[in-house]
Amino acid sequence: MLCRDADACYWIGRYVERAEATARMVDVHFHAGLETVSMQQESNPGRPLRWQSILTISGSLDDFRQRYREETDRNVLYFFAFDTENPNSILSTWTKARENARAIREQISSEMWESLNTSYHAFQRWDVDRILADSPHAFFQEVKNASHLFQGILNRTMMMGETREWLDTGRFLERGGQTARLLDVKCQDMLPALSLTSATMPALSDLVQVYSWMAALRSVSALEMYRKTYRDGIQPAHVVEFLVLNAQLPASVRHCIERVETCLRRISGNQSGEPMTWPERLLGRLRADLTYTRPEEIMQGGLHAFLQDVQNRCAEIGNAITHTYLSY
Amino acid sequence: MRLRVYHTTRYLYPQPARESHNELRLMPRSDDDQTCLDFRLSITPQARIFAYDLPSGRVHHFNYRPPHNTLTIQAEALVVTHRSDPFYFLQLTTEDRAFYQLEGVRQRYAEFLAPTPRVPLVEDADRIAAIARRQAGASTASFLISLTRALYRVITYTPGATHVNTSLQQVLEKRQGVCQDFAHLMLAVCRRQGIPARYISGYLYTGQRHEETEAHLTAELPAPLVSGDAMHAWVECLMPDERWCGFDPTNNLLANDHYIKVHYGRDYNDVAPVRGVYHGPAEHTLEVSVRVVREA
Amino acid sequence: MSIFAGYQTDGFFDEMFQADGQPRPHYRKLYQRLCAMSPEEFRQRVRLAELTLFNQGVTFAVYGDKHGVEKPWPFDLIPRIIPAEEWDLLERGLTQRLTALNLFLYDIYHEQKILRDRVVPRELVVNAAHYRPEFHGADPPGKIYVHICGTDLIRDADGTYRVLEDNLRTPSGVSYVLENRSILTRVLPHVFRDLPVRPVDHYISHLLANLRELAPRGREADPTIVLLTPGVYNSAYFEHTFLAQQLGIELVEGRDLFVDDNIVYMKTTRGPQRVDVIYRRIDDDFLDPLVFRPDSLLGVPGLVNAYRAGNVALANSIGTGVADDKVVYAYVPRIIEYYLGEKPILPNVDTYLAWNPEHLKYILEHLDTLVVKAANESGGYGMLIGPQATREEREEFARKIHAQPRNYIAQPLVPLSRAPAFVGDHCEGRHVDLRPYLLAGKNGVTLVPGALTRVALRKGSYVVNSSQGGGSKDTWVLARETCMAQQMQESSTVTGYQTEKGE
Repeated sequence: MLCRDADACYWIGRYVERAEATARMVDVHFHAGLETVSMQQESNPGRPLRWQSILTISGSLDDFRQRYREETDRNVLYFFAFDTENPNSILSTWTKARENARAIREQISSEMWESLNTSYHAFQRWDVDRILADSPHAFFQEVKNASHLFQGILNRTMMMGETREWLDTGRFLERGGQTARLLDVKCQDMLPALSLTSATMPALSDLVQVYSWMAALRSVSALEMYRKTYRDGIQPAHVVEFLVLNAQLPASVRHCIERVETCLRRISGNQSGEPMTWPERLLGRLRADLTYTRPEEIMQGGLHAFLQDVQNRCAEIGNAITHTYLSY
Repeated sequence: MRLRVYHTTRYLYPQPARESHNELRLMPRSDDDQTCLDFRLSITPQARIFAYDLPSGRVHHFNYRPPHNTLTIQAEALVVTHRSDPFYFLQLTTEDRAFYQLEGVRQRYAEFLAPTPRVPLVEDADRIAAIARRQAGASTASFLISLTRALYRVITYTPGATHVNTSLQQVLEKRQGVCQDFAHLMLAVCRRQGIPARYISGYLYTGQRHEETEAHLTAELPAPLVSGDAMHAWVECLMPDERWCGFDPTNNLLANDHYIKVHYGRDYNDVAPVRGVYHGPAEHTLEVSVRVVREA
Repeated sequence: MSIFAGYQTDGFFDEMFQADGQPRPHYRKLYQRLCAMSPEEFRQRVRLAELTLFNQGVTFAVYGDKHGVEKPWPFDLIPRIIPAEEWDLLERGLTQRLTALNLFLYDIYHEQKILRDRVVPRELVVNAAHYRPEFHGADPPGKIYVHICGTDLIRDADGTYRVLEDNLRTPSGVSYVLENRSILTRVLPHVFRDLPVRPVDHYISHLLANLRELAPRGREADPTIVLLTPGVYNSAYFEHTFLAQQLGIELVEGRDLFVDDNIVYMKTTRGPQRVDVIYRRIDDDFLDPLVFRPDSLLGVPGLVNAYRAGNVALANSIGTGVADDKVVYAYVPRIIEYYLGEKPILPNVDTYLAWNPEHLKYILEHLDTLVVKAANESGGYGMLIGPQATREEREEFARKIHAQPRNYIAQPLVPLSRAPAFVGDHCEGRHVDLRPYLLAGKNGVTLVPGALTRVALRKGSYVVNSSQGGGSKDTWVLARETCMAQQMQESSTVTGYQTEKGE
């Protein structure tokens, strides 16, 4: 496969996933915010933190503050959904996914192209006023559905082969990184109040915190699955274990890393236990860490440090993949 | 005359260059005036060399893809030149302009009569032609000799006054230039007069005092011959006997057996000795050295 | 009320209707079927077609338009029909023409016999903008320079087909021939019923076979073929992706390829892979910065020398543009006679060359009746339509022609034939041209029985280029009804790749 085509597939995977992640995060945060407003206002008048964590998660706090005076709902929704100067806005990422697809139309099925193209035109019919007047949820649901439709069409219409592996590589690497980042920021928001150095995490009594953790789970569609897996309610240590170390959860970092590793091994044709390439080596090492680490160990070493490390390693894996396979 | 040429071209890059592709027009021709007996080319770092032939001469080419900080091209040639008396064939007295108006001639040499991006047929060229005519006899050869002298006087040879992309109009305004500018200007004048003329790149043997050469056209005080420590450039014009005759306006000389022709073309673009592209820093240093020595 | 109610031919030659307003015999069945549809029904089909085109992204890009990079391809649903005997004439005429032009190109890049015999003035060739002296003496495989050609034809006031332009460099539009057909069969399936419309799908198989046969020696068994595109911003990018997909070959950009020791490779995730045949859709100037424009970022350094050495094949070859130069065009009838000893089957449009002093005088005196064209522009740019131009425009052109006579030609304004096009809720006559696509290979020239009919959708306009408000029509070439079955069989034995397809 041409390096340039593989690169385009990899980025289509990443951008579609990123658009979906952004939609999920903003959607959940917006609606969670509505419910907790009254509670927060008692302790935090003026809700200064309402959007800060999410701007941090997406790495765009500085960019936002440079271009907007206030963190109003309207500004933030516009910034995440339509602002084409924000490279990670839903419209920006979807446009880039579509541009990449346009450049390799002969590589992907025409249904995949049509789905990206049709959604692109559909998103452009929205604007921030309509979102606020209508329901933000309807818009974000449309974005999520567009991503799911694209993945579904991909699964159904693409040959099992390298093109698909690259689309999946991009998708899962992006998803793993997004989950780690989301958790990292949520923890920084909420955990200073808690003693993180002790091996046992205190149970939560503060309703605001419970809602925040629920929002985090919901934003990766993991709340229901969490409830089925853990019966003793929302516990920070459980949430961390679930989102980072669980092997079955589609959004967990471990699951994503395993998927990326599988894809790359299929691409290189490596069936041995030994890594053949630099990215395979990095992925294997990270997978082993995620497989054999216990949640208590993470807490002891410091959750933030751990998640930072995971994010850095995901970025390094991305660089290694680009360098090894995709530079042209 | 047996002449040996050593020509080294070295590119120095501040940061590594890679993906370097180059075409070389460095091998002397073999024709009525000269025979190239031996030609060696070496590239450092080592690269495989390929070649093909055009009517104007042989072109070598190579590529070198790994990163490199220098690229050196060394050419060595042994040439025997035959034109000891450039005046021998020239008809200096009889009017012969009718030849250049023949439709057959105009068509056969059409590419050497047409303007090119480097040789626009600027009107100022006619003024120079008029000066040359005033001092010339009736024949074309006489006119061209006079023109060679006129250009030599109008333009001052000034190394560094112009660069490879200086336009003809700028040269006329500054009245300064290097051999490439002299040649381009002479091409413009000739072509406007309907005389087919082509650009020659090559080497000039300057090791001997020029007074001894019969080709020297003027009795004025001798100036040292110039070839710019690099390749030289002059012009060949079509004579009414359909032979090409070389004129060197930079030195006010007719091309004799001190001149070694490498390639001919419509202008410099056709004959650039090294033409290359690479990935890497835009700026680089170029070192060129040319040495021509006479052998027994 | 039918969509043809009130239709006027306005004294032009109309493809569908005779001067008396009756449909021509080969259009009768189509006419009846279309008349059976109400304008509203027809409009729904138009919308369906537009939606299909839009969702499939069948688009073209317009240069100089900074907003929508892509525009949907304007498509007129009423097909243009060419009866079998007319197509025979076109097929013979175009085959003759392309055969002669390939001989001409080989000659001018080698011995130049035709120039020495002064059939074509040498200066017109060697000083043409697209003549490539750098490529003199090189031998393309099979001595063929033009493998893929799209010739523009028009019909004049009495319906005579005339060649307007030979496109010998990187002609585009064939994807629309195939797409138009596929859309029309979906949107108006019933109009095809019982009509002996000859299929066009096998163009792709022909093209692929011809590209494969260009493979360098030793690489014939399984050559790697690629389509080289300037990239996503090129106006024909849709076509490049379409053809690559249909041909099952990689679509590459210059940066995907590199040359090492005279061999061309593409960069793949499994390392370099040798490339044997390049269907290039990049102009000569941008193909190889080492040989042509050094500032080009689209090309591949070293490609031309790899081609010259026979290590990779290019379709089309280098330097073909000299033969579709509008000045050289005027000499094509003489070129045909010189190489083939035959009279040209298809006439040119009368052409005056500003290069010739007598013609120049005539041109300048008749600017108000002539169409003036720049010799090396295409796409309807650099053109003056005298009768429709303002005085200032004519004067400006007169100055340009004076300054560079070699660059201009002039032709009488041919009253292009018209065909009905659907506008709003009824049909009106619009000017059309015809671009059939030819393939030249070892076994001679082949044409698929179909073509692009371009239509000037703006009322009264003569400019059919899609970049300037032109649209297109599906073009039906009819088989001879009596011997249709036999002919289908014949053509499938000739090509060997005939695909099954409806009617």
